This record gives sequence, C-alpha cells and structure tokens, in this order.
Amino acid sequence: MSTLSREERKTVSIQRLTRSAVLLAAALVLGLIEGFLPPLPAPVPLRYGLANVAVMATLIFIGSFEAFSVAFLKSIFVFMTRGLIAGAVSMTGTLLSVGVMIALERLFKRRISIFLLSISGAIAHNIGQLIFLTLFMQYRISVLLVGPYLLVFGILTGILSGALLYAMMRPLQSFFRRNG
Amino acid sequence: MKDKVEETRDRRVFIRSRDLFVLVALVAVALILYFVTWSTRNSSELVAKIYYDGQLIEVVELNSGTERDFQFDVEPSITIRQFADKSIAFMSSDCPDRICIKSGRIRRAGEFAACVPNRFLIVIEGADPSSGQEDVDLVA
Repeated sequence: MSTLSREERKTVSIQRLTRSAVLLAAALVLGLIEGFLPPLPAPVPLRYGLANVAVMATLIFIGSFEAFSVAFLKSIFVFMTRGLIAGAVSMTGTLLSVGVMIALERLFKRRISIFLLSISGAIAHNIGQLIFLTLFMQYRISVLLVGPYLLVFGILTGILSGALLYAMMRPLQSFFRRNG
Repeated sequence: MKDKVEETRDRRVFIRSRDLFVLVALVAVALILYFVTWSTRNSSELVAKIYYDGQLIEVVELNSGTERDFQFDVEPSITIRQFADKSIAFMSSDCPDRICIKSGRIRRAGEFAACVPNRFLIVIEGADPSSGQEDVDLVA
C-alpha cells in the first residue's frame, strides 16, 4: 500500500466504497427474496439467511469494517421498510452474526473455510434473535429445550448460505480482481 | 502485499477436514441437549403457555380431541387455535410479517411461535413440574 501514490490511494478507497455499495444492494435484494420464499419447516421461527451471503462476500473480498457497515445498513433498511420491531429483531441477530464472523476471520488470519464462517454466522444470528426475544418479550426461554433446534437449523441454513457463496466465488473473484 | 491477499482469497476452501470436528462437536452438543431434556419432551402432559408482553396470560392443556379458538381482549386481531392432534398455532394476526402464522402448528416441548410486533408468544412445555427443565434461563 505504501508504494501507492496519493492519486492511486484515492482510487482504491473509492473502489472499496463502490464495491461495498454493490454488495449492500445485493444484501437488500437477497433479504427481499427471502421474504417471498416459503417459511422454513422448522419448529422455531428461523430464516434462511440469504442476505448473509452478501455480508460474507464483503468480509472476504473487502474487509471487516465494510462487512459491518453492510450488515448494519441492511438492518437500517429493515427499520425503514418493515418498522421498528422487525428492524430491532434483524439488528440483534445481524450484528451478533457479523461480529462473530469478523472475530473468526481475524482469528484464523483470513484463512477460515467458508463452511465454518457461514455456520458460525448462522448460529450467532439465531442466538442474537433469541437474546432479543428474551429481552423484549421478557420470556425466560429454556436454552436446553430450544438449543438443539437452534444448533441444527443453524448448521443447515449455514451450509445453504455457505454453498451459495462458494458457488459464487469464481464470478466474485473475477469481479474483484482488477484494480482500477 | 496485495498479491498475497489475492492469493489467500483464491485459495479460500469450502470445508477443511478439521472443520468436521467442529461439526461433530456441534451435533454432539445438540444431541446431548436433546437427550438431557428427553423426559420433558416426552412427558405425556404438555401445555402451551401463552404470554402477552412477558406476562403469562393463558395455559392451554394440549389434550387430544379438543379443538378450540382463543382470543384475547388485549389484542383482538390475534386468534390462536388449539388442534385435536395436540398442536397449537397462530391463525390470524394484523402484524406485517405474519411470521407467527408461518411458524405453523407447534406440538413438542421447547417449540415456540412468536408474534413480536403484537408481543405474543406461545411456548410448549412439559406439564410435569418435577422435570424442572422450565426454570433454566437464558440470561442466568
């Protein structure tokens, strides 16, 4: 980076910004598509986590700060379109999920497998929403009873979104390869 | 420096063999939790507890053969129906997402359906108080 001139550095930062914006748009569209899909045949309310594909792509191809921004702004969009409560549900799950994924990405020095990244994100998302339910509904949810469902469905939805991201790796690589 | 970063991106794998240990550990935790709560899950007497705004407002015994609807003055748009096959579900609600209705019928201990905008929650629990699993709390 230090060898770049001032002009070149400016180009890089604009590039990061526009690329993050493209992935944010992708996250919003995936979130909308998810709303049209039939509900998961799960005993507890869970989501597919399609928007997480775009968040993971941002984390892998751009960086931690950009991934956090995409996740945060995606929840802000839910606030604006579906109201305060849906936004708050989305926010707790999404922020915990992206936080865990950023921590793992750093811990494994950017070499974590997509599978591990995606199932950790999915399970963290489920736990985040459970924490929201506990705080907002003041319900003492039994972790022992709900835990197995959250883990098993976190693994399944995590594999789904991880597989989608892996299938998209090649086109994403060619999209992100050339600088300038 | 940049080339090195590109290289790790290119080498990003879907799954490594050591990830299988994590997978096995997670499944093992899920199975242990499942069997620890076996007695509650299979207790013949199950109840559906209906909460509004964190307060328990109704306890429905899930007997076979009983089918009836529940409505509450606090939120008239919500209808909860108990089915003859010992299951219970949200049937109507004025919330925008309808996640509560999409959750469908729930019937086993630990399953829940929530209508977050209307602050309604249905949870299935074992009626047998001696099993003691109901008191485990997420934040404790």
